[in-house]
Amino acid sequence: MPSLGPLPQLPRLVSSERQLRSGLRVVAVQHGDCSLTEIRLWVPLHGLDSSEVPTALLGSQALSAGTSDQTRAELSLGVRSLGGELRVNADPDRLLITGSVISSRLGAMLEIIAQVLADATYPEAEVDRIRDIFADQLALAGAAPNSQAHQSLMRRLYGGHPYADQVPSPAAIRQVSDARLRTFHTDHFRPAGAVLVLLGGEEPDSVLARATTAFGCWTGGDPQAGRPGPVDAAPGPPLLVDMPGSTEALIRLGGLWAPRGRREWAAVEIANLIFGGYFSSRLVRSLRENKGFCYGPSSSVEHWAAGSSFVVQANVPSRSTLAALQEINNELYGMLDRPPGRLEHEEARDYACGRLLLAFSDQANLATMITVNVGRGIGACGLHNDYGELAGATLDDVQEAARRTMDPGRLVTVISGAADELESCRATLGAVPWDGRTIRW
Amino acid sequence: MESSPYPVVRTALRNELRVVVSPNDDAIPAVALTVDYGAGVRAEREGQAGFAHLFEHLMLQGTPSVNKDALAQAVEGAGGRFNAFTRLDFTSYYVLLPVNGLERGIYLLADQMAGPLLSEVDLRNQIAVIKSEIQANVHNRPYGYRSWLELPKLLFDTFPNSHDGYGSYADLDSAELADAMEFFEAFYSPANAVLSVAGAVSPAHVIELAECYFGDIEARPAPSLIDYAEPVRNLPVWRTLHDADAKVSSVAIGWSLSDPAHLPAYLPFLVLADVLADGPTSLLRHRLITRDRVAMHVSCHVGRYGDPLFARDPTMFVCEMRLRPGVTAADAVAGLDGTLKQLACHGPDGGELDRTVVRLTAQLSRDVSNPLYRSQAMAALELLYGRAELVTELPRLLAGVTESAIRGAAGTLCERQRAILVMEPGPERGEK
Repeated sequence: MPSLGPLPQLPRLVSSERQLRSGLRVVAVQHGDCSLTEIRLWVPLHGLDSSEVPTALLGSQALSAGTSDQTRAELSLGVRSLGGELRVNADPDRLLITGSVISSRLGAMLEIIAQVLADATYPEAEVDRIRDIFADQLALAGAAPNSQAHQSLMRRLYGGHPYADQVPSPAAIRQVSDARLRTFHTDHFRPAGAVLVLLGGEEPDSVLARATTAFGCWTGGDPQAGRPGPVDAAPGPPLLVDMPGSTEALIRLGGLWAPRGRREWAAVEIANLIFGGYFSSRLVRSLRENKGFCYGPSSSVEHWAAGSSFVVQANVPSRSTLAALQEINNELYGMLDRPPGRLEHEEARDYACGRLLLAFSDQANLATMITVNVGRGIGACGLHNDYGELAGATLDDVQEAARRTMDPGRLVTVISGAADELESCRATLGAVPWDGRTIRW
Repeated sequence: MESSPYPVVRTALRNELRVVVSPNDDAIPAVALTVDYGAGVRAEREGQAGFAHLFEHLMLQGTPSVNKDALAQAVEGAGGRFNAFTRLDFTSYYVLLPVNGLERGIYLLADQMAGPLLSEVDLRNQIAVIKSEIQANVHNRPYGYRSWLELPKLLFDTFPNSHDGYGSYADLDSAELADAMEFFEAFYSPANAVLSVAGAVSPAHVIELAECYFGDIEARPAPSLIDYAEPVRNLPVWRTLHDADAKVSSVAIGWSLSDPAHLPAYLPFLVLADVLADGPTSLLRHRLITRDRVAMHVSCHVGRYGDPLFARDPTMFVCEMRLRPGVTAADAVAGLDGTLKQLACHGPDGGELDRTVVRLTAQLSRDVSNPLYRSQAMAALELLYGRAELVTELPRLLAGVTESAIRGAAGTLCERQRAILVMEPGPERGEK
């Protein structure tokens, strides 16, 4: 096996940034030689309550429904004429505009985006169409078994918190009026605290100048203060959600914790890889390669403004549910009883560093990573700091991170599948049937 | 004409392995290595459906020198990742690594080509893993790739063109180690493969390493190329399936298309797919989603896997729509027909072709800057057409597609018989 030289340095990113008078922070990053510029605009949504999540989501879809002087079709044609593309989505933490455009036409594209943010009118007829289709689309996407299983876990983990219902019901969407969207826009889609990241082959200062000109029109006071409260999930017996006719059991485990900075972030990333975050992980080796239970078991870590979550997922044939769940729990306890060793740590650490390095080969992905970091207050050179933290995380740090995040006594379990197929779980595990929506205790 | 920023350097080794290399600068300190073997779903025999994909899994079960755990550790522990996929006419194995892993990547791919270590235990385990993959992707997922699996059965007659690449449980269960050995001998020879490398590397160095690690692999003849072309069917086909997991009806319309190798006749269909359904103002999306409100999703693509150029003749043009509740498939198909007729008579509105091509070429330029995309695309293009350079020439060729060519392509779809697959919500009636 040929040995490796040292990992390459993370490429230096030439960047400039400027805070506009409105409070919008603009970061221009030079990378690569492609003729497209990536555009990301992150607008934090502070302190939403659960009832506002459907408004935020529909607002993201209807943002470009019209301005005082352009219709939806004109806006859309404008974007396309520039060789551009634009998508908007929202979650309880932020609105995110994702786009790209031929670099030479960046200024005109930014003008369209700024115009929409400054002057979206949410015209009733267009909003009607968008609401109608969005409600149907959500119903369709939300009905997929994987989505159902994930939603059930989120509800179990987050209870009444706004993170619990990230796929609102079509009825909740249909109740959001165009007037409500206008108020929500004024209250929440504001430049103060927002971040615009532009990544492409062009010189950063000239990009900043174009952004400054284009975004002059987007103003607004300070956004509403407040952050979502901390969340905690009380452990309890496994829950069974009936999914009639399902040929599989969709096993989900999850837990929450309050993160303690980037050093811990790095250690948790590495611990997660070792457990189930990559092909060489303990979980994949066990569930897929040794037992053949499952095509793609995995674990992942998510970071939200109010805290972080650790999630394990495995879809297995119904008859293997108990055996697979036992294997998962064995591997979880194993992270505590047979903590990661030196070799496991080094491999996962180098994988994590390499993954960051490889992100530079995908311009769109790189732009999103930088935006998420800047949006969460980590800064434009966050990737370079993260690289250092990943490389510097010690074995002790990783073992501590595993104890903190993966203790099965602190995780909750939700199994979705056909109730008749899952009867054995009920008896053996003392598992409790659940409708997947309201927590009973 | 401006010269491409990604020139292709090529050579062939004494065992006839073709090697193509495309360097980039250090701003992307990665290297992507792909080996494509000229055997995919269409190489399977009757009774053997799904075998190419099963064999792909087996190729990743380790070799006499590097067992399967060591393979994953060698790549992932080097900061990289690896995977493989099976297509109609080839199977692709790739490794993406930080650039310091170049030599290791070449070693691992060469070690695979020298031969896998096959065991009965691994064979049975991978059959179970694939069944779980099929469960998750087909049986327990609304619409479950059905259009991809079923449309070819409606459009083509011969087994190679019409059967689906996941295969049947019975065929998978009947697979033996001897079949795997035979498949490897017949199809996985250096002469039937391309090594493609893209990244912050020097072509001379890559070729030197390729000679060092691949050069000694025993030469075996390449299998002879089979012509899979078949006459276009002259009867329309309409088939309805029921899917218990589906919430709304979905329609997939497919047309057989001939030879991707004849680019001037073929590329207009690529542009047509985007004119019809790329972006909210595209013709079909505007008509069916915004104006008539009959559909909630509309997409068009060329190629069975949405990969228009990475297959031999014949391939297909596909339009898929998820319908709004209460809308019938016939309404949606009538909307599609109307749009195609309008395009066949009048072509796209002023500027729409330009807008589409600008967007398409911009996306391609972004894809091409990514070493993994470049390496995979060059491997397939070299294997199928001997033209890895197409990866950077494509934008120019697409820019040359004229309005009359779009009208012609739309006209072909109007005239040619198509297959319509409707998936309706409801209990399955004995259909897979």
